[in-house]
Amino acid sequence: MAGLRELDRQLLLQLGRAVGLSETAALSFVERLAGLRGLSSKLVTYLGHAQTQSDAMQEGIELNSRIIHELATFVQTLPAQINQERGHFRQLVTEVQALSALTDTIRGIARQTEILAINAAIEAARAGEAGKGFSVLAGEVRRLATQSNESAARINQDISRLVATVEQGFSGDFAARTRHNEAEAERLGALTRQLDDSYVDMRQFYGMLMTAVTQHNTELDRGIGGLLDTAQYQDVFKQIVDRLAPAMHNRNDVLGALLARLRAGQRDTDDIDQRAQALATDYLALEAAHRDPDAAADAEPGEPGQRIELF
Amino acid sequence: MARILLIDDDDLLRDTVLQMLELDGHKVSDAADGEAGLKLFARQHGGAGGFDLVITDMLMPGTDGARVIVEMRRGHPGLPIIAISGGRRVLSPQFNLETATLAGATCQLAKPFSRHALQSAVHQALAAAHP
Repeated sequence: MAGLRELDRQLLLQLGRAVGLSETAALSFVERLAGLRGLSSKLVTYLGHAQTQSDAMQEGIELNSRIIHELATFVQTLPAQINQERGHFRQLVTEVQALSALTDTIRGIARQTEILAINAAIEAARAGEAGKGFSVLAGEVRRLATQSNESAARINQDISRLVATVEQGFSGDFAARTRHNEAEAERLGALTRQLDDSYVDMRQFYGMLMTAVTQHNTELDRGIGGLLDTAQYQDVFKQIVDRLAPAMHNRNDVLGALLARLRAGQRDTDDIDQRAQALATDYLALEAAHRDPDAAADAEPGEPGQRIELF
Repeated sequence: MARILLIDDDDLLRDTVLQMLELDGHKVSDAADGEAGLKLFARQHGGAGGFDLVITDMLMPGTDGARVIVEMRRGHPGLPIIAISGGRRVLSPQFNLETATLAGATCQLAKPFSRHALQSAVHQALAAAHP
């Protein structure tokens, strides 16, 4: 019964190999899953911290929108201020033009006074005989004097107004407004630099986040690939069982034939043993045909590698 | 003695770290930004002047430290890389160094660091590459 024993040995060997393969695959599966869980947990922790950073940046963005609002307000008030300054200038120019007109009047008076003086000199030559002429001239000179006084008073008033305009436009308020604007411009300049910093922070944050997460996903992908490789051993296991099933069926046939012969009192069972030996040889050849030659090189002696036939 | 590539956009810090490393007998090449660092690495690595260790800052204009680590790791999975970072106004050094870990850095150092801390990190990174 050496052939039958050999057939049983081969079948048991393959059953053991299938169980071993299944256990190895299950262990590998668990190890890879643990690795993936570690990677996943690392990513979750990292993304939690990224969320904290993002929240801090969100606060920065809110601050930045306030900065932009302040900048807009500052820029919006500037034209009104400039218009106000321009109004002061216009008023000043008008006052100066008014002074210029008064100067013309005074110049006219001076010219007429000169003519009168000449006439007075002529009339003086006729003194005594033309007293009436002097009387008229005197009246004219008085009128001119009155005009001159009035003009002088108006000039005085205009100058006072001009001084007031200048004081209002260019002294206290103007200097204060200028100082305020300078301070505001400086403050907004600093805020703008802060805005720029926030932008650089945000750009670096998202750049690094994307790089790190992409790299991590590559590792996850590799891990999942490994897991799928391991899962393929399930198919190998199935293939072994699929080959074992007909071999077992044939073995049962041989055993059936052997039992029938023995029950019939026949002692000659060599042909049945030869049949069992042939089945063992065929099964060995079938298994050998499904073994991976590369894996066979790494396998233990007597344990040739198993060819992985994918789904 | 190790051949070290040091990448940092902060001139003063780069010079300081370079001197610390040279005092310890290392041969140091340096680059002022990520892109220059990657070019120098590609030109020298693998040849006679190849690097045993890379030290890179995380926050740099253009190519940041995370990108440097990923690019170097792609072709040289066993290369020891130390990430250093001091953070910025909002970005904390801890977050930057966690990013470095995820990107594949061997170990990290938060700025500012002592010479002793640098020596330990260099030793740890080189030991990890040649256990």
